[in-house]
Amino acid sequence: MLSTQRLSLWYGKQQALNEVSLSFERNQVTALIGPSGCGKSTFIRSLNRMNELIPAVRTAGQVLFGGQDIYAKGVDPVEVRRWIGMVFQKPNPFPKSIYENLAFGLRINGYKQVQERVEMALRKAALWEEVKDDLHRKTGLDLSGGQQQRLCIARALAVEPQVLLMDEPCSALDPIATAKIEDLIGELKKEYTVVIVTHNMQQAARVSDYTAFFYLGKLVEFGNTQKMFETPENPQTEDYITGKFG
Amino acid sequence: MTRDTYQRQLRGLRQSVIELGVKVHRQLEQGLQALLQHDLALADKLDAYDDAIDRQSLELEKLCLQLLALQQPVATDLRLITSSFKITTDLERVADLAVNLGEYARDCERIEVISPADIEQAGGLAADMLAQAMQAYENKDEPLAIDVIKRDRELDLACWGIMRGFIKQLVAREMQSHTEEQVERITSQALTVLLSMRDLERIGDHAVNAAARVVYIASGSHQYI
Repeated sequence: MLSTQRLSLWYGKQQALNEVSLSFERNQVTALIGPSGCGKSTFIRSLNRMNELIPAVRTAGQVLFGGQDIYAKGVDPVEVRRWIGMVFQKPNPFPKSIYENLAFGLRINGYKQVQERVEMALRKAALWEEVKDDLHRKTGLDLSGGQQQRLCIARALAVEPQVLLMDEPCSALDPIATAKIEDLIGELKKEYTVVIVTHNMQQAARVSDYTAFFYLGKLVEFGNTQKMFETPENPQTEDYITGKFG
Repeated sequence: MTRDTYQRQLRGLRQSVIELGVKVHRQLEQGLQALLQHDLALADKLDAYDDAIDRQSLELEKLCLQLLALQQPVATDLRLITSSFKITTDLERVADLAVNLGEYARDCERIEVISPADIEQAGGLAADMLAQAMQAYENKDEPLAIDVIKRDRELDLACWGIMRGFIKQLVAREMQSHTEEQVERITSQALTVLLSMRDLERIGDHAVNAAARVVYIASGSHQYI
């Protein structure tokens, strides 16, 4: 349903991705791992055209979603980001009520039954029970870090994407909040295809079905997560996941 | 190279398992010697050695658990630690069985009903398999480990042949008349030979277990486990 074909990307003259071809399985979690600067964040941002917001970015190759190249002429990037939602490293709720954090996007996208959709998204993000009595009284910024991140997940889910991209979603969270997000990822994959960038090797092992290892802008190895962490095929993968470099 | 302390701990684990293997192999050779030469003084010493081996095994188990809990090992490291944990158990069992061999010496005079050389040959084979399995562990030598696994059949046949030959002797002697003292002596020898063969066969099985883990460490294959 989502794949890249020989995807390359340059920041000015600096090449950050080098002909990456990768297919994401529907309703599975794929973790992207690799040392800093390996291109994993660049790659995940390419999957819903977020890199376009950075000047001097040039891409080559294709990102196919349902058979359609999302970089093709005439494809609306806003529409792409509705199909393929994203959650960032640092929770970024709006300084508005919890309700408005979700309702705003729904209204500007022309959705009806906003109230029902807000509740549904908060339930899917496992946040409803904690905030249902404060929807209009508290702002997104009044919530704890973990709750803020789940609010951002709910905001992404409210517009009913098919894919959820998560760029180090737990790196700013404590272990309890991290555990909640990880449990939530396990639930979300029943309905969505999830791609997650993580620096935490154990997190990749815990939450993902497939793992992709990036190094110097290239995809070094991709495969079943258990196999990657038990018997990786590439010595570079082995050295990275066992902590011999990185 | 990063995680230097962890890498040092892994090297320490491997070295300790290798050293334990050397001690257990020596224990096995002494158990066999006590049995074959009816050396009761040596048999007495085996218990003390076994206590030291038990303590070292426990320390190794603790180290493996500590590495699993604190370092979250993956890939080769994970295979090395989990396999070392299992191999340590196999080694500890071999040491127990070596004590048994000494115990049998206590229960019986020199074995005469069959040739002690046959027992020595089977014991030598079991000891070789153990040494070979540990050499494979030390060098991550998958072909050598597979060779140990294949040799198990050879040991099984040797033990089976000795037990069968022994029972035949008993049946042949049954046809003749014996004094009560002779019956007692033959019974003791029967127990010794049969139990020794059972234990040597088990030692072979433990060597095979260790070798199967080496294959897993080297290639990740579960084929022989």
